[in-house]
Amino acid sequence: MENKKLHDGIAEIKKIKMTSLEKGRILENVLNFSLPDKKPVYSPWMTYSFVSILKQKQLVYFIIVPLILVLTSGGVVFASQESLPNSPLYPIKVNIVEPIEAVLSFSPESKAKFESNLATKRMLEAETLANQGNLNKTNEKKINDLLEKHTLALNKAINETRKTKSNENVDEIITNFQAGMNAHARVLDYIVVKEDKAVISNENNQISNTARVSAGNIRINSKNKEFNKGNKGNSESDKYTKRKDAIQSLITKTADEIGHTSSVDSPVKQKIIDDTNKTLDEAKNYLNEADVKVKEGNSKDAYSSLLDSESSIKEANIFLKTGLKFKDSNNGWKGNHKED
Amino acid sequence: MKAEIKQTFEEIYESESDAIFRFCLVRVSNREQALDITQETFLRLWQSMLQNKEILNNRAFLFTIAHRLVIDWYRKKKSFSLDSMLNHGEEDGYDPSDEMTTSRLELVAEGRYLLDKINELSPSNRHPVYLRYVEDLSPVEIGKILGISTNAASVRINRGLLELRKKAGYNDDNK
Repeated sequence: MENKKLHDGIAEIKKIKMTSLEKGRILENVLNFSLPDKKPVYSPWMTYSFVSILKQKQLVYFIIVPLILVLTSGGVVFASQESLPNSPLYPIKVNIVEPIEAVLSFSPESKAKFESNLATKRMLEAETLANQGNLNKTNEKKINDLLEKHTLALNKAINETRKTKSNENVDEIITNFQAGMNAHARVLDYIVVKEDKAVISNENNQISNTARVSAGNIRINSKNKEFNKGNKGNSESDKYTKRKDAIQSLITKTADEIGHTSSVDSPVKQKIIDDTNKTLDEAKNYLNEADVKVKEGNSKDAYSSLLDSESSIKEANIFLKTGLKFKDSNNGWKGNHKED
Repeated sequence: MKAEIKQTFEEIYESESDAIFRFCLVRVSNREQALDITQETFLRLWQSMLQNKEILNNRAFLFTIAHRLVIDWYRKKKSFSLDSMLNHGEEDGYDPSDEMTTSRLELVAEGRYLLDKINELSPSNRHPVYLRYVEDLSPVEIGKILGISTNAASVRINRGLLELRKKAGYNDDNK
């Protein structure tokens, strides 16, 4: 680039400059500029925006957040309803959801029914776990502890109920609980035994033992109080006759169900039906005993036998339905009783 | 803190404002418009300095902004003047054809002639040659301003110089 003309041309171009006035004016304009406060430019549609209304009114903190909490916790609660002891949601169900429900049962009678239902639920959970082959010692202990807890709560609620309600209501709760516990204990025993053996193991599991003991305790605790109260409205014979008719009706219904049971295709099914028939016979025997005692004039013992009969027939009914349900739904039980 | 920034800015302004103005003027061919773009360019620098943004090369930064502002100006101009677009084709380049501008540039014959010849260069070589020989920018800075690699900038400078010498007839002159 030694060309003189080129150098001269470039030098000429470089002479193009601003005047001092222009230079000073631009500098002044630039230096007088200050950064504007960066306020967001709001859209004219914000008036109609739900989100912006929430932000402006700060409703987001008072409505949306609690709503999310409620929905989330609601979802967890809903999901925990069907959880089993081997599920992470199970502690939420038994330690939070159920105690809250229990608090909402105001009358002692409804509380007693609620506790009885919870005990039945525990038995069903144990049956389901056993059927899946997941009933290990840890789960067994969990259910067992809860079962004992429910029994204690039920006993307390029954004592409370006796103070306000007639014995008939209490007896109903007791027989239902007793029948449920005994029936489910038997079903559980069947499930934990392998189908091919088709016999009940001599070593009953802890849960079924607790269920039987709980059922017995409730019955014994209430036996002494059964006939001392409750004659306020109805006469003794009316009460007896009414209950006896109900039991007779249940016996007939259960016998019909056994008769209508579809073909017996496995030893387990046959065993269930045989056992149901035995329990049905027990119920009939208790009923006959009650009649005899009535004739002897021993109305208290007669009523006690009547309740035994009622409990037996209900047990037979539950055992038949639950036993066949587990059998049919799985086409044979897995029967794996896991050890930890 | 702001006083320091202001002092630095004034130093930069003093040393670069004429070059930026010249760069803008020879491209937009309108003195008032060139002043506006120059002001806008330095305003951007001032804003960046106030926001404590890191600027590695002030010269390259200023020329890059000016280059983009000129392109924006041409786009806006074209959008409202179809006739102008039809007459000028794409970017006008270094065309001080406007009578008012020409008179204000007050270039003597050599400068006028060289600017015309630079304007006749192919578009890819025009800017590198101008920035290298008129504004004394390095190939690295030219590459940054035009958004090309340093190597590509060097190649375009060399090719542009050969083209310029050929077009201007400087090859025949004594060295």
